[in-house]
Amino acid sequence: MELHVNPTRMELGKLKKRLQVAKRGHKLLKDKLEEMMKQFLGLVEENRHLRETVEESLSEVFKGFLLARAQMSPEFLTGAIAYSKHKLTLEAGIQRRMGLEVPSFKITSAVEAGKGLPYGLAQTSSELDQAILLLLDSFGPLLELSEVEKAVELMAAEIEKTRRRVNALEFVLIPQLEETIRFITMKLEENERSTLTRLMKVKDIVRGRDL
Amino acid sequence: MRENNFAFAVGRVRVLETRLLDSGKFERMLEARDADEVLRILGETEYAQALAAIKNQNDYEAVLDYERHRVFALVRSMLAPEREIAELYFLRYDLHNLKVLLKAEMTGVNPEGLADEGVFGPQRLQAMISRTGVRANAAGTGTVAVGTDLEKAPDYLAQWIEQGRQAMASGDPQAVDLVLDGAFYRFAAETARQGKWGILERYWLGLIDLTNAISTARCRRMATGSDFLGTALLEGGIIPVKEFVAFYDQSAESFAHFLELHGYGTLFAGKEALTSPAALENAASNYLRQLLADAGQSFMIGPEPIFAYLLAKENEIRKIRIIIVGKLNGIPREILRERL
Repeated sequence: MELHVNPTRMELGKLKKRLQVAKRGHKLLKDKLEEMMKQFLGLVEENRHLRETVEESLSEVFKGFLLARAQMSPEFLTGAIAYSKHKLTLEAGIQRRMGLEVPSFKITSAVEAGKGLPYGLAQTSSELDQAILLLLDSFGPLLELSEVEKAVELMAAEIEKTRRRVNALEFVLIPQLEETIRFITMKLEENERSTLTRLMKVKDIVRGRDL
Repeated sequence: MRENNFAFAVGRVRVLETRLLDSGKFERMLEARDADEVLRILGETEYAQALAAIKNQNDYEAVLDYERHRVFALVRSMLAPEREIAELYFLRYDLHNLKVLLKAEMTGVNPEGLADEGVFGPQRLQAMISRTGVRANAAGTGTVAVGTDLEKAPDYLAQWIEQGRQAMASGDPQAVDLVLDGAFYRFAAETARQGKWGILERYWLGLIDLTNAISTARCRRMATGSDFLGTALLEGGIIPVKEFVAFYDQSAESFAHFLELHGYGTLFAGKEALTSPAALENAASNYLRQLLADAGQSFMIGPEPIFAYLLAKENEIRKIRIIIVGKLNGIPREILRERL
């Protein structure tokens, strides 16, 4: 369906320029889409790998807690872990990926290994040590996972938006512009032919009078 | 020690010992489909009384608590003629409560995980540590906070509270634990040595040595460094602390050899204790129980058989908890068997 515009040369010029821009935009967006898809697949793979690592490590953590829970009475276990000694610093920022703003986290802890436990060793089970230290080690990958998962989510939305734009350009705007340009060109040619015919007719009439 | 004071109690313990769960019962519980079946098996044993007294029979922790309270009360009454022996054992619950109360005060949160057992109980301890004023400390170098009931606390407990408060200044809950653990085990070793309790003295000193051995294994696994190990070890045992610290960097085999030289060779009958602190914990617990069980057999009358029964009962409750928690969470039988 062509656009509702006046079939004038000026309009034709404008439409041709718009078509040129639309085609260039379409190409750029298509390139962007391809690159984003490439990055998206990489991110999805990274996300899968991170999730596997985190799930594996958390399952070890929970297993350790369960075994500690089984070895120690609830009072001793609660008393040992209810008071944390860790002061973790979380820095939250923004990083750009393919023009997208995705969150970035950085966690820092000043506590040394072993000294990171919030309890003494004499009345606690060794099963708890591994669980606590593994949980502490899991924080880094867990935050990285949250970063990557959010990036995947944002990139998926951006890919969808870009694909809609590419499709709109490819299947709606560019065909409309081409159709309209063709219509205006035909209309202008028609006008030209009509003027030429009229001129020839006028010329014939004038020549007849002279004779 | 007036052995004759225990004649009736030991006779009673000999009967109660026959009611301890045997390996067949544990095997049946391990093979049970789920936790409900474990509780049904428990219903056929001495735990039937606890199951009948608890409204929600699925609350296994309440059942185990009930049984523990019952046995503790019984053992306390049996050890009444030698109150110190029982008190030293139950003081570890007060130690735990003291740690919880001080750490809660330090972090400004409500105390969680208080134990009802203990010589003083959580309420009395809370009253002792609540700050209502200050007085000069024993050395005259500063002041300490005093509560309304601190004056009623025995000297050793007042000292622990003071030491705990000093550790609180670091803002580190682990420091409070380490200081109080050190104070308690030093006190336990002194009390046991002064009391000339024979095999029970050997039990307490062995407990300190083995706790140190386990701490060394834990620190080696966590790679904490020997400095931290030095602060985590308990004074008062047979083996000096510095010897444990010296073995921080040595191989597991030489550490095992070092413990063998001090008479703890049986710990490493199974090779797992060489590499796993959890296996060493189990081996240490078995070693101490066996020490008392053997003594219980040799000493016809005395506090040893009663103490051996107490440890056996606590171990039984621990094993039941392992099985039920395992069944509730689908832990494979092989892993549970290792822990038993």
